[in-house]
Amino acid sequence: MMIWDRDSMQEIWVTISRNKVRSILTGFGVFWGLLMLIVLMTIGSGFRNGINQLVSGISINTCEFWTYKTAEPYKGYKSGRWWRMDNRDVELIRRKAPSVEYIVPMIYMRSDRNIVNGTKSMTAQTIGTTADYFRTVRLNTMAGRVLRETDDNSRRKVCVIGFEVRDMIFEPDEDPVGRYIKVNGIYFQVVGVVGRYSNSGMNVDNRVILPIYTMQEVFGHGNNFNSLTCTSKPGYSPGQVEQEVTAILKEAHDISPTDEMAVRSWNVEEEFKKINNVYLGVSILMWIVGLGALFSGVIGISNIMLVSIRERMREIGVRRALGATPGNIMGQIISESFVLTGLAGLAGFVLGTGIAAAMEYAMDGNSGDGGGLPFLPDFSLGQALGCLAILIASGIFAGILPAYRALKIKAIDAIRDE
Amino acid sequence: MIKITDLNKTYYSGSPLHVLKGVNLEVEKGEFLSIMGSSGSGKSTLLNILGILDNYDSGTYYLDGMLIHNLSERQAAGIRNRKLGFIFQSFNLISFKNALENVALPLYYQGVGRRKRNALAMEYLERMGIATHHHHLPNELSGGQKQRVAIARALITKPQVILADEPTGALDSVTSEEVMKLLKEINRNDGITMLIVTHEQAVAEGTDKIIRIRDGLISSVEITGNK
Repeated sequence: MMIWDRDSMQEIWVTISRNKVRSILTGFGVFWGLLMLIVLMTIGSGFRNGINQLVSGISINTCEFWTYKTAEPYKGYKSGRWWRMDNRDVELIRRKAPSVEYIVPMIYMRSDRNIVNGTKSMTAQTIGTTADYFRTVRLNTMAGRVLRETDDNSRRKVCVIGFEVRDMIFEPDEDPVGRYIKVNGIYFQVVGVVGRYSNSGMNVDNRVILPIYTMQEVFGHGNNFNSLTCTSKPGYSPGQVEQEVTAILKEAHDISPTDEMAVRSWNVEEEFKKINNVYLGVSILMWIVGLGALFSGVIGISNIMLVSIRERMREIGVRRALGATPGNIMGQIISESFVLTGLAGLAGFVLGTGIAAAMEYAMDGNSGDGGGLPFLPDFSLGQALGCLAILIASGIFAGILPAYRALKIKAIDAIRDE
Repeated sequence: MIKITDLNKTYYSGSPLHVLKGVNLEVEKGEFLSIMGSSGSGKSTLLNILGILDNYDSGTYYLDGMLIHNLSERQAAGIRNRKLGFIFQSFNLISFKNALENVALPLYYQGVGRRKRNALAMEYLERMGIATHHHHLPNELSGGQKQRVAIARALITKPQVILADEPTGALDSVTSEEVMKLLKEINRNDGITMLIVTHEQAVAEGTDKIIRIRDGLISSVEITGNK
């Protein structure tokens, strides 16, 4: 026999609406549970999207090195000695570190009103680096080109500028590519304009990038540079890069192998893992809270169905006497709890997706840097279908125990007049 | 129609209670009989077993030539639905269904379509003389009207046997008489076998045969000569 025919639907509706207040109060648990589940899922995916966006501009296999004073005396040197990385280190790493793919040394320079084009000037950080830099970060090349090896090898006086620099020192209708600008008092030819790909990583928007050898020569840095970034080859971890490069640097600069202070490094993968673990923890917590709320709602429905069956013992007994099979009774009870759960859950689903959509709308583009983690809430179709599946399962689950209890009712006990 | 041999039933709640101690009973098709006995005599237990609402321990029970023993719930439900009709002292109408829906309910469990079901139910309500009240809920009906609805519900599946447990127990004497008259008519006109459990002498005397039960055994069978 059909369970979902007009009569049974009518019956289900009558029994649910007979105790309106009770049904609504009971349904509220499921309503709230599903609402929480959806809102928490949306927040959870907001964190995940935020983190994804955060790392989308960084190569995850990156390790950065910089210098600090030594902590231990070694080979006749006293502790507390300052040291500097130089071009020889780049060659050593290239020869001796099998895990390293790209080696990116960097010099930073800054002085007041250092960037000049005709009558316009601005203050911007100047960076010296190699062509490899552009292979390790993801940038938008907005005009012209980025740096090449030949720029360094020929000590060319060329530069790549961030788009904010362009906006400051060029007229809107001017094409900066090919023009000469004054960087720290020396003329350089602009070869390209770049912009950040995402909010993460170094902000190139307001910087001027020069070939490092040209910069060392022109501005008197000798062979030295300030920081070093290395990326791992496929099959090697950034952790290996960190170990190998640290050892090479220590040996080259007479630093004790046990000195923990002199060579500073930062491993993106490790940081990423930490953030990822935090995200994982947060999302597990949200699932527990959301499903917990829903589950307690389902238990509430189960409970109220048990009460209702107790009240309706006689009715169920009469139905049995009139020829209702155990399947009929079971179908009726499960349908009832299913409809009650489903209606309450759908209300929660509608409101929940509404809130999710509102959050998406409100938070969209509101994830600037400096404001902590970017947060991009998102409630996908997959998540929605998942929630509905959970809801359907809960509805059936809520009815199983009451239905089982209803089957235990014997017609004879129910209709006995004593 | 009904053949019972050496039927035994013991309840095991607390101390064992041997309620039926080897009952033998044969009921022919179309008989109109009553079962009498004091409370605790086993008459209700016998009726429950006859109605396949309860199991028995030993002996045999044949209904319409079929051995009724250890049936599955599903089979029992099917037989109750097609062969038996029940009438109860407290009517046992479903409170949120109107008279018509109550009468139609057994057909619902047979899978009969809604329209056909309601048409048949209307027909039976008409026969019971309460067609005008078909849309009333049970609590809007008098005791006699409720019992008429219950009788219509018992009849609608055209059962072979109707089992009535104190059908007049909750009715005043005038209404009781009317209901008994109605049951008799049904028995005479449709040839439906009718078993009425009662402790009212007047009701029993209206039937063709009175079976008295005492301490779990049939103590006497009396032919009233009404037929």
